[in-house]
Amino acid sequence: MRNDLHTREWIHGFIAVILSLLLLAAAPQRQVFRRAVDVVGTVLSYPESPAVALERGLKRLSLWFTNQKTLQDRLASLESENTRLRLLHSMNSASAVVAELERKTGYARVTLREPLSWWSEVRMNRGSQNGVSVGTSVLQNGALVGRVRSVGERSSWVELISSTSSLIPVVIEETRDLGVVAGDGDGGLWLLYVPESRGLAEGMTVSTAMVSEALPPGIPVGKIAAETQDTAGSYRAWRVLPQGTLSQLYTLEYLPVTVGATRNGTPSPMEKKL
Amino acid sequence: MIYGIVWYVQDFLWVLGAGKILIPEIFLILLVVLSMWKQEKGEERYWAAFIGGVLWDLRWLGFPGPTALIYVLTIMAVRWIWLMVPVSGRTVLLFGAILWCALLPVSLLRILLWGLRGGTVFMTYLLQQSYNLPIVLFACALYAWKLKNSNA
Repeated sequence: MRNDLHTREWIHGFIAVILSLLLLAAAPQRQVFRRAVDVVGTVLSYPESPAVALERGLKRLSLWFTNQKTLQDRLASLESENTRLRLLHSMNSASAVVAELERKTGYARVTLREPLSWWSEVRMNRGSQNGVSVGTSVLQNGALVGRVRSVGERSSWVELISSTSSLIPVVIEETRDLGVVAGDGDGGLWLLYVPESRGLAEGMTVSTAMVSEALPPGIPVGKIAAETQDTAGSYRAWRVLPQGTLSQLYTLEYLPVTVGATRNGTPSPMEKKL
Repeated sequence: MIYGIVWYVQDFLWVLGAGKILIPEIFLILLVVLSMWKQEKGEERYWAAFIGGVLWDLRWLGFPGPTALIYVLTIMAVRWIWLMVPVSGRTVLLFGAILWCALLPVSLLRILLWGLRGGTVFMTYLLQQSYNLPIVLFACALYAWKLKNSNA
């Protein structure tokens, strides 16, 4: 019985093989199968339509991603180009500013500010060739920020008013009291030698006094702040808020010494005293 | 019914691949697995292979014959080998080996009809077998599970 089943099965198999071979033999006569191919294609086009739609969607999605990548690459390229152009423009602008500053007399650029002596000194690109001498007052936007301590031919070192060794004779505009402004080495200024009883108040203006012949009077130094410190005797130290911005020293103005100070770098007797 | 569904899935995947990707022969895998799994209904497998092959040829080749012939011959070979082996020797390994070998002729036919020649044939052949491998392993796992249940 089992053998019969197998024999029948093989017969079916061989018939299928023979039919396949016959179809294959008729394959060169394509027009014979054209109708059948068309019918199968038409019938299958309906169940295949979701696959076609999905395939198109995937193709569109792939194209979209490709376009996005192209756009992003283009954007990155443009951004890079823009940055380069901006840098070039900034460099040209900076060069123009530097050139303009170089042309102006009385203006200087800070060329060095060492972190270890941040609040003590800066170097500027003007020296004895430009009329700078020891004691020359150095300003920022019209406010005193320091004085020249040593001079080279093309550069000079400026001692900032925030330096601990800087002592600037000043006058309080509102009360006409004289005192001295000294730096604390940490960017702060203190007004010294004014009696406690003088009743100074916050906001009063401190300017250079006509005490030193090397320092022109009336240059604004800063304003008195509320903070005070007790000192020896009946004197009180008052914090002074500098009018110049010591943390933004890029360009400086300098006022050559006109009276008393020598041009060879030697301070006048009055300066030595200060 | 199952033949129609699996044939349609293979056709669907083929359309989705847009003829650019070789799709695993899941219809033939089904026929081979069923031929070994259930020994009865041998005639049904042959005619399913023949009709499925003819339809495939009409749909994708434009003339009937090659796929139908390969399908039917493959099923005949599989059944001949499988029925020759005693029941105790029908292991998972043999099942997997026969299934794997059954896919080789039709894979080669597809690659040749795809128009590939020379060294690319071998590379594409290997790539296509890599697609078939997970399906073969899955079928082996199913067969092992069946063996385990029938022995229990």
